[in-house]
Amino acid sequence: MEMDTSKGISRKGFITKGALATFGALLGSKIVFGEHLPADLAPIGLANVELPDALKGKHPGLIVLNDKPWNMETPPHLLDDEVTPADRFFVRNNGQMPPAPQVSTWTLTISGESVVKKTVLSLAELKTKFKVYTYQLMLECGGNGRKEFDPPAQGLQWGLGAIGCARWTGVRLKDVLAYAGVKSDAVYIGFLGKDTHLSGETGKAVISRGIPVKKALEDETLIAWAMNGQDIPLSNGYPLRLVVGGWPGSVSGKWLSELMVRNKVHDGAKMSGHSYRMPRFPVAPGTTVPDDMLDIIESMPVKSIITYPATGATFARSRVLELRGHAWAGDLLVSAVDVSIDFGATWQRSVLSPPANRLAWQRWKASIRFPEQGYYEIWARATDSKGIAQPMVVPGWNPGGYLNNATHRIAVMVTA
Amino acid sequence: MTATPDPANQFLRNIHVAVIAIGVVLVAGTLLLTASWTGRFSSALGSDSTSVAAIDSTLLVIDGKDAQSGLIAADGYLTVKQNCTNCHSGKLITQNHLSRDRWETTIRWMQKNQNLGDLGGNEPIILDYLATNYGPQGGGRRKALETQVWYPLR
Repeated sequence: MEMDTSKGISRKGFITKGALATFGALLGSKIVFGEHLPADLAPIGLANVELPDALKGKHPGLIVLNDKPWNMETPPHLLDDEVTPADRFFVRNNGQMPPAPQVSTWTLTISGESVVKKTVLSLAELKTKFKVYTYQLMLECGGNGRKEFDPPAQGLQWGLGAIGCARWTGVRLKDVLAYAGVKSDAVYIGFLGKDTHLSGETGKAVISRGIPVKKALEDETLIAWAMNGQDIPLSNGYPLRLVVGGWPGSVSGKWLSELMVRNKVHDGAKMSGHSYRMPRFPVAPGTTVPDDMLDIIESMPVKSIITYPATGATFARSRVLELRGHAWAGDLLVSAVDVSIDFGATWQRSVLSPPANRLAWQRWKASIRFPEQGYYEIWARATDSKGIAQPMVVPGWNPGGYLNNATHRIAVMVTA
Repeated sequence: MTATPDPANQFLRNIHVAVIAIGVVLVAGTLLLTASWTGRFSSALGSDSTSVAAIDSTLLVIDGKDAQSGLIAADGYLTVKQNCTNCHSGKLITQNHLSRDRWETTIRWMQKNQNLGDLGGNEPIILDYLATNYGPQGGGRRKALETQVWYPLR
């Protein structure tokens, strides 16, 4: 079923200490420089990266985009499950993961100018004082798809796979806010987490973003401690995180330690400048856009992926291809997914399922026949409940390379 | 197509296997001996190295790229490596393709937000290197799909 078609920077290129020891034994000596051999290098066929413990549980097909800090994306064909398993859930870090969070002493503080009563809750209190909910929620990095922008946008060059839709269990943010009390002038909820800055400077926030009060008060906005019924993996925010479905993943703060009820738009790290902000008006590719002409990204745009088959499939013309994937549309529903095998000249409507709950992705399936042998590209295009569809080319250029929701394309070869 | 194997060919094939096996043993043995001799030699010289060869790992270049950072080993790469990869992965450089101006903007952003200091005389060296080796590639509105692996669909 699964193929590892990932190329380029994958963890295959790394060297384990075990492999070095084997090689060293053959040479009769330790390879002193060995453990400094990095990252994206496979010099002598030695296999496999030495991942930190926090990432050892991840699927070997995930692609490592960065190892300082760790960032990994999931190829689309590994996202075929209805509910994304923890081992296939992408990793987006802005700093260093906290090495060993202590659950027994972990607290969540509710503070800020617009909180009625500054409140500190232990993890145990959080789990017992409030009603517990479980929702399947779509998370996508705001920069997913960045690698396609031309001229290139600076940042991690995400392909398609900074997405995941797991089942999250926790308490509603709105219940916790109500417990602490929110003043009438509250505008925004900011967060702080326990990750540490790459520069090593203690106390410097790695990322401190947030959401408007209106989004914070939605039923599905969770303070979560479980993913798919298990502890959240450390790399995905253990032991506590925000989960805000449909918005850029960066607002779903990981290793959550503090929520700030603000009387203005939150001004934490990565809320300003070019971070997670789009030009107020469309700009020509490569334009320098001043900071005051950028607006904060809120709901993500409509998008879809093809999860079966993996790109590169070859099969006989007699075969009816059972295509499938997922589609999502930020705060909205997906109303249709269409597929094309002729570069968008004609489209075939797929069978689309409703989401498990609001803000979960939706399954789509289509049976495709091919008129003759040859090379085909299969394109999938979702349309949201307001009638807005995915573009077939890369959408509006922007300095940060955000919100590329162009149609996913796979290549197939049909034989006689 | 392959009928019964020709006995003569089979014999030659066996000889080949034997010769290759002997070769492997000889090479491995030589490596082991060389390694232990080198080790003794180093010890005799009072070296504290246990390495088979005194390779400075920070200078190791493989396939034209710095082995530690993945940077293209062209003019200025060591300056880039020393100034950039202490704080972040070389991958963050090598996956990007920016104009000189936009690389400069990135440096200013790191100076403002990420505790990067003044690069002084190294800055033009770094910018020249980045613009030359990691400049824009140009792909238009959508690149052609690159199919790296074709596989039979079961």
